[in-house]
Amino acid sequence: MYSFRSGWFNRIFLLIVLTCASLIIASRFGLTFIPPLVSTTLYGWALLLGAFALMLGIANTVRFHLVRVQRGQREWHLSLLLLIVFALVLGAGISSPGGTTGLLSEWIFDAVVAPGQATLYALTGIFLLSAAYHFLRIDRPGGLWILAGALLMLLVQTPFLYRILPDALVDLVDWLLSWPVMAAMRGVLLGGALAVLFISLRLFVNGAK
Amino acid sequence: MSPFSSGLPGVLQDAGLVLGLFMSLTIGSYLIRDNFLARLGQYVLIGAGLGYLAVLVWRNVLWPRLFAPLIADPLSWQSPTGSDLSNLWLPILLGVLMWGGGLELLRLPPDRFAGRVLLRLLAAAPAAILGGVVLGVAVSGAVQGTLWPLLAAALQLPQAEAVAAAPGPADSGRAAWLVRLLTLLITGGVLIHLQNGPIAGEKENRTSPSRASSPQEADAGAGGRPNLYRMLILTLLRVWEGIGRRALWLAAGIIFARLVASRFSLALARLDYLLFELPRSDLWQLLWALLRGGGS
Amino acid sequence: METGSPLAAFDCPHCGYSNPAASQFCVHCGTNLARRQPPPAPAGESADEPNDLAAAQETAPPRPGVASEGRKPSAGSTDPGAPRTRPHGSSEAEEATGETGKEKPEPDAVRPGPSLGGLGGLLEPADPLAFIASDAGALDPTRDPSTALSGELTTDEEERRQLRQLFSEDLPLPVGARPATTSDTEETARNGNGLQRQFWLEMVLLLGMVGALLWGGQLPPGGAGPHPLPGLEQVHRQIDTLPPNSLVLVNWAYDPATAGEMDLVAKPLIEHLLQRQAKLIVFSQLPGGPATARRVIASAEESLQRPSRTQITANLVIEAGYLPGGAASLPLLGVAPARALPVDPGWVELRERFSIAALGETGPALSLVIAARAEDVRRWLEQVQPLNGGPVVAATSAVAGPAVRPYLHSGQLAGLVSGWDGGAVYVRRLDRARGAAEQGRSLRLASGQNWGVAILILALLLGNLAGLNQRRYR
Repeated sequence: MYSFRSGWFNRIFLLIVLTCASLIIASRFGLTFIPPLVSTTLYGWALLLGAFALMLGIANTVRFHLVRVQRGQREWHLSLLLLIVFALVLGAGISSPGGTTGLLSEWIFDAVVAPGQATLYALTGIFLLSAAYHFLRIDRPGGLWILAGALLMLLVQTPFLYRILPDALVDLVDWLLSWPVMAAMRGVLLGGALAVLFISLRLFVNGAK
Repeated sequence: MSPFSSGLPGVLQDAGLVLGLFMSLTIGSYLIRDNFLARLGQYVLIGAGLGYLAVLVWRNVLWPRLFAPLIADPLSWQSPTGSDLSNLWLPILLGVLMWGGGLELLRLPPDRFAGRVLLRLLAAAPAAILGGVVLGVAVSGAVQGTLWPLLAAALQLPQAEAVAAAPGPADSGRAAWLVRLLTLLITGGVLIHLQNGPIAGEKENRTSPSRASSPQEADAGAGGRPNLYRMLILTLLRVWEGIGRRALWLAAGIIFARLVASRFSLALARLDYLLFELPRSDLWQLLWALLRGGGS
Repeated sequence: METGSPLAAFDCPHCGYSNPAASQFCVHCGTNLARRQPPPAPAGESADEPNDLAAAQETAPPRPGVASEGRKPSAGSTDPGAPRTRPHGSSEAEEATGETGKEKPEPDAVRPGPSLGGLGGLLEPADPLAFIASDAGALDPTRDPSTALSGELTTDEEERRQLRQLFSEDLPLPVGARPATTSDTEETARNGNGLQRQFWLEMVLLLGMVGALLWGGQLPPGGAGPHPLPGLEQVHRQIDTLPPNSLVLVNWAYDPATAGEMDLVAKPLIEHLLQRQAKLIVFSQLPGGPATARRVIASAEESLQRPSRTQITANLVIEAGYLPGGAASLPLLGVAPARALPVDPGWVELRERFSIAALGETGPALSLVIAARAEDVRRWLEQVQPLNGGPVVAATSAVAGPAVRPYLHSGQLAGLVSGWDGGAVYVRRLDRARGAAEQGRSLRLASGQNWGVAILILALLLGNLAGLNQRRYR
C-alpha cells in the first residue's frame, strides 16, 4: 500500500539530503575531488527551487482562502477581499512590462504594502511598554541584572539623558557593550553554532546507520 | 508617494495617499482592540503582499533566469558543455515536479491511481535537494563563519586596536589581559549555562528531600566518603556558570534597551508620517482649505 | 496514578503557553509537544511497551535517535523530553510521579529523548538546549531521573525560558501566565493578545510621542547629539578610504516593516558611498527589499543634490533585485556573483560596465549588510565572507547591534553602525549641509525618543511598585 512512511522512501529521501549536504560541505572545506562547479550548481538550484517553493506557498494560501469563501466559513468575506486584492495586484504587475518596477506596482507598494507593514510593526513599539511594565521587575529571577543593564543603556542612548551623564558612566556602558556583553553574546552564538553542528552530525550518523 | 509612482495621473496619486492613510488607520486601530477594521486592513495587506510577491518571483526570478533563456533557445540541452542542461533544464524539471507534487498534495490522498502516487513520491526529490543544500550550508557556515572565528577570537589576545578603541579599564597592557580573562570566563560560563542550565546545587536539594541532601552526599562513593576532587570541580563549574548567567542577564537588559530604541523609532516614524508628511500633500491642503472655507 | 485529566492544559516547555492537552504543537511558539510523552501507564501495562513500540516502529518513519539507542531500558539517563503536565502546580501528584519514575525506570525508547523525529526533525523548531542537555544529563550521575520525570519546572528552568524569550526579541509573557485561566487574561485575549496590556500606559506613551513630535522640532538643538557606540568610526574610515569606482556589494536586508528605523541608518551610509563614487550592486532576500532600496537610494541622491537620478543610478548603482532561497542561495554571491544576477539580455551591458565577472575572482572592495535582524548579518558572515574574503561593514537596527558585536571583535566585521542614534551620528560626519526640514525631523525624532524613554522609565517604576505591593498582599 502507498505510504510516505515506508522505509525505502525515507531512505532515498535521506540519501539525497545527505549527498547534497556532503557535496556542499566537501566543496566548502576545499576537498579537491569535488569540482567547485558542483556546489555552484547546487546553489543555483536552491535559488530557483526557492522561487518555485514560494509560488507553491502562494498557491496554497490562495487555495485556503478560496475554500473559506466556498464553504462560507468565518470571515469568508474578508477572505474574498484578500483574493480580490491579490488578483488586482497580480494583474497590475504581470500586465506591466516592468513587473514590480512598473508604475502600478510601485503605486501599490507605496499605497498599501509600505504603510500596512510599517504600521503593523510600529504597534510593537507601543505594546512594548506593557511588556516592560509586567516583565522588568526587580523581584524576578535576574531582575536586578536585567534592570541594571536596561537602565544603563537607556541612559546612554537617550539624547537628553546622555547630555547630563558623567563621562565615566558613558565609558562604562561602552566598555560593557564591548567586552562582557560581547562575550556573553559570543557564548550564545557559539552555543547556537555547536547546536547546529551536533544536530547535523546526529542526522549524518543516524542516516549512515 | 515616492518618485517611482509619480508618472501616474494625479487622481491615482491622491487615491494612493488616501489608501495609505486608510491602511495605517485600520491596522493602527488594533491598538484600541482587535476589531473588524484592523482585520480588514490585515487581509488587504496580506492579499497585496502575496500578489506583489508572486509578480516579483515571476518577473524577477523565474522568467529572466529560467523561462526566458529556455524559450530563447529550446534546444540548449544539446549543447556540448551541458551547462544549460544542469543550469536550466534540470532545475525546471525539479521545479515542475515540486509544483506538480505540491498541487497534488493539496488534493485528497489517492487510493489507487498510480500516476498520482508516483507524482507525490517524485515531488520529494526537489524538497530533498533543497533540504540537503540548506543542511550543507548551515553546517559549513556555522563552522567557517561562527564557530572557528569566534573560538579563535575568544582564545586569542585582544587586538591592540580594539582594546585601544574601547575606553575604560582596558587601556593598559595588564588590564587587557584581565579583560581577556573576563571575556573568556563569560563566554565559557554562558556555554556551560546553555548546556547544563544552573549546575545542580542547593535548589535541587531543597526541592527533593528524598535524595542526597548535599553535593557531598551525592558525590559520596560506596563507602560514604565525599569525593573532594569532584566536589571542587562541581563548585568551580557552579561559580563559572553563575558568572555566565549573570552576564547573560546583563546582556538581556542591554538588548531590551536597544529593542526599546528600535521599536520606538518605528512608532515615531509612523506618527511623524501621519502628523507631518501627510499634511504636506496637495490633497490634504485642498481638504484643509475646503474645511476652513466651510467653517467660515 | 493520575497526572491530570485528558482535558487538562499542557504548558509548553519552551514558552510556557498553556495549550490544550491534545495539542501536538504549541499554539504560541510552534514547539513540538508530541515529544512529551503521555502520562505513564499503569504498572501492569509497562511490560508490554517494548512490543508496542516495535509495532509502532513498523509504521513510523525511521527515528535516528530511537533506532540507535535500541530498545534496551536504561535506568540512569535523564530526559528533558519527559512530561511536564503540571509545571506550575504543586507537588503531591508530582511527587507520586517522581516516585514511580524512580521505581520503574522506563525504557529510553518509550521516553523518546530529544532525538530528531524522523525527517520532520528538519522542519521542527528544535530546541538546541534539549539536544545538548540530553547527552549531558545521561552522563551526569548526580542528576536524578525522578526530577526529570516529576514534571515540575524549576525556578532555574523558568529563568532560562525568560532569557530565551528575551533573546528571541519577542514580547515576553509574564512568568507562569496562563492566559486561559484568569479573568484578566480573558479580557486581554478579547483584545487580541495575551500580554496583559496596560491600555492607559500605552495611551500615555502615544500622547507623549505625539506631543514630542509636535513641539520637539521647535526646540533649539543643543549638546553633541546621540552617543556614538563603538564600531561607528571604523565604518566611516572603511568607506572614506574607498577609491573611486570600487565595487561594493550591498545586502539590503530590511523592508518597509522596519524602514522607520532602518532608513535612518541606511541613508547616510548610501550617501557616503555615492560621495565616494562607489559602484553599488544592491540585492535583497526580502520581497520588499528592492523597492525599499530604490527609495532610499533616490532619497540619498536627492540629499546630495545630484543632477539626474538616471545618470547616477546607471553609473553607480545596479539593482540586482530579489534573491530567493535564503541561506542556501547566498553562497552564490561569494563564489559566482555573476550567476546570482539575472541572465536577462538587458543585464549584459550592465555586467560588462560593472565588471561583474571580475567580482568572482577579486571579490568586492567592500560588502555592506544593512539588516534589521542580527540573523542576516550572521548569514552573510557565514555564507559569503568565507568565500570572497572581502571586508564587511554592517548597518543594523538598534536591537541587532549587541548580537553582532562578537563578529566586530573577531575582526569579521570591519565596522558597525546600529540604530537611529548611530545613523544620526553618522550623518553629522558627512561632508554636506543639512536642510532645515531634515534637521527639524531629526530633532523631532530625538525629542520623541526622550519622551518615550521617560515614560518607559516611569512604567518600570510603577510596575515594580505594583509588584512589591502585590507581594505584600500575599
